[in-house]
Amino acid sequence: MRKCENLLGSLGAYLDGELDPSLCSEIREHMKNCENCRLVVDNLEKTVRIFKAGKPIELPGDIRERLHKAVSGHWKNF
Amino acid sequence: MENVSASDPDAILVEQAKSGDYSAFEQLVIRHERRIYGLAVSILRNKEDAEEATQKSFLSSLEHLSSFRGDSFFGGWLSRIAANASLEILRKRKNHLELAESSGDRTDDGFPKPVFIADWTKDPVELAELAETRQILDRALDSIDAKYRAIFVLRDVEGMSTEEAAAILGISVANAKVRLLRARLLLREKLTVVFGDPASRPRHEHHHD
Repeated sequence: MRKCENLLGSLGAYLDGELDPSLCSEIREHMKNCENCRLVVDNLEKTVRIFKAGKPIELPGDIRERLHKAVSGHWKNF
Repeated sequence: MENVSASDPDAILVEQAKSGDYSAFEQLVIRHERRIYGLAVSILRNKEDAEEATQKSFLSSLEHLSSFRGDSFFGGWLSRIAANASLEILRKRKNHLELAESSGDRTDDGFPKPVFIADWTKDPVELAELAETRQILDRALDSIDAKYRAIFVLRDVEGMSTEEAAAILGISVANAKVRLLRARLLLREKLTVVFGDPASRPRHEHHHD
């Protein structure tokens, strides 16, 4: 468990490919025998991906209308 | 033609807008409004503030259009303006209630220890298609502190570099990396409870070293 805790702080860099090679292989070796850590790393990668893949937030019609009014109004001042 | 990035899909519209063509600028607004509003609402978590940030962003981009030189893509420049506008509103909030730091267990270096660990049953791209997913993601964003939300949105959703995001947030790159990992771990916890298959939870505490 201690090992998992020690490695937790490096997982961000690991996911982003920013970790030095020796620490990287240490994590890979650890994950071979540690289902918890393997899943956490997998979960983290999926967490990032689902937000990236998430459907765009709806822009309410009234907000959109007010935005365009504000922009055209402002344009006239230029 | 000024020094405009050749591969920016907005390059032509930007040039036309700079020459005084309003319909070109309007097209730029139409192209980016949903994304910019999405960025603002992800950080600010309420419509009124997000509307304010969105308007400020486009008006600011209009005001500074003449000084936009095409060193970056227009969309990226707009994102940075929107991020700054959102954070300004965040800072101004009265009674800024910061969510209490999660009471959960932390490692010695302050990272939230994973509690619910399970395999997600579906691929994220598949899950993203489901109607209820947007709400689930929104709730997860609501559950974390604004400072974690901001770095996560800028880095992982908007795709900014750590350096860019850190500069916008006014923090060091090292701090940005720590915050990002904390944000990812907190969101992982929330989402795995929903998307994880309980049957796949590792059965026992592993005992190696």
